[in-house]
Amino acid sequence: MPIFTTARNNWPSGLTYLLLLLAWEGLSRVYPPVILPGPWESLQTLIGLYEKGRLMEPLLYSFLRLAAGFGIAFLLGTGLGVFAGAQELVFKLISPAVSVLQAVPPVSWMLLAILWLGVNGGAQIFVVALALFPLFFFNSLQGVRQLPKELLEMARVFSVNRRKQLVDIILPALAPFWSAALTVSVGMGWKTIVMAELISGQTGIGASMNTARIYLKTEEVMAWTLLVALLGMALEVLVRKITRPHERRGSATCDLQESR
Amino acid sequence: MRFTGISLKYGAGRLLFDNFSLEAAKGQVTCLMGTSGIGKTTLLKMAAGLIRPAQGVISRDEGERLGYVFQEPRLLPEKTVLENVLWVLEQRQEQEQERVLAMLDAADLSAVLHAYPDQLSGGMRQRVSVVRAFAARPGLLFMDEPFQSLDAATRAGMHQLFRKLWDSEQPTVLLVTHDLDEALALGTRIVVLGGRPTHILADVTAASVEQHGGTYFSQADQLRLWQLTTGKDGRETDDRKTAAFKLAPSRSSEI
Repeated sequence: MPIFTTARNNWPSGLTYLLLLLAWEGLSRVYPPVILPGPWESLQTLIGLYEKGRLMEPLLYSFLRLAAGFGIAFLLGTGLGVFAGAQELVFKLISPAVSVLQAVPPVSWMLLAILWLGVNGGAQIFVVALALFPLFFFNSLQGVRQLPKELLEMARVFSVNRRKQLVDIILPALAPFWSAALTVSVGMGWKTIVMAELISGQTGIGASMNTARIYLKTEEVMAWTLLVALLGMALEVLVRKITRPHERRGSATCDLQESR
Repeated sequence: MRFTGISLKYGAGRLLFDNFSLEAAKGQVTCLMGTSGIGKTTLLKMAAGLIRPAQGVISRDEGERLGYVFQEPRLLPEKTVLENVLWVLEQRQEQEQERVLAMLDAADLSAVLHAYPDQLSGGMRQRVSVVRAFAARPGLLFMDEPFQSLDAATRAGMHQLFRKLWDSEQPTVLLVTHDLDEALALGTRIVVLGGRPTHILADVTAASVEQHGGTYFSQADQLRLWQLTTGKDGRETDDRKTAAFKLAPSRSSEI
């Protein structure tokens, strides 16, 4: 898993992970398992859940919801963000609505969504989409506003075609903003999904966690938490790797001197 | 290319140009001089279609390709030197690539063809931007103080490069400069702008144009240009100008 590669290449971070693990283990020896189960016990519970066939279905539900909410937020947020970045009037019309959207707590949206859509009517997707939309919106807006105008001007004078302008100037300028938005939002969306499922309480990881809590199966709560945290970190690393494939070129030609 | 009856206001309402006209003859190097803020850059941008005049007509030959050397290099950061130059060309043929490589070689850039702009010195970046402009085979080439950020030695090298490239492509050039030496060395015509709103203070054409782009301006014209551009009104007497003025007599007797 990518996290461990990072940890190995970079020993101070690896040490911190190790210390956290040890602290968890130490505390679990002080408190009874019903309060704080240890790492080993949690991992075993997780494997047990898998063996009993109770792991994959909630996981799949949560993932599909994340993908749907993420996709909707990305399309709407990016579309409107680019539009607002290009047109000042559109920005002035849309941005107050986005600010209001951001100010309303996700929990309120969740409760309202259950009332409007029912527990299995996509309320979780709705909440994730709403939670992530502002991120995509503001990042795209910022990206468009910081497009290199001088380069676009240069391209225009030399009558370089639109396609080349898009591929070589506009998209590279927007990429870092999208990369940041995607990385932050995938982690945030993942946690929001679990929270939303916990409230709606029928399917998905959040629902399973809620059930475990009701029956005081602390080790199951812990097992799910471990899984959610690890998957969240993995998703962020994955998205960062995908969206920034070439953290540009090494030092090979850096020491070139002027040639005369 | 021709400006006819151009008028343009600054944001604050100050009139920058009022019924201004100027024609740049085909295949000539017209140098524009004048104090800062007189609108030289604005003229180039209007000519290139980047700014619209409030009134008046800017005429260029139909379908004429443009080139522009901006004050800054304006290179694509994610592309190499060679890619940057090829980027502005319409078709990417082998033949074109050879021509571009020859030009880069003339500009002493063969060693850094595959380097990225952030790995180059400022002077090298500006040379790339000059080569790019000529490589586009412009019928009309705008240059906005292209060499001002360079040291004296590099600038002399750039002047040579300019002459070499201009000789082979013969575009119509509009060159903005602060440096009369540069204008005398490169221009076939020198236009000094001044006043408010901006108008033409002096318009001097070279007495003769030698081979390889070398030009010769008469002593009387040179003296007049020195007086105009070294700021009798005291607004243009920064150190560089004063230094240039002191050097003037020896420089002009040399020519």
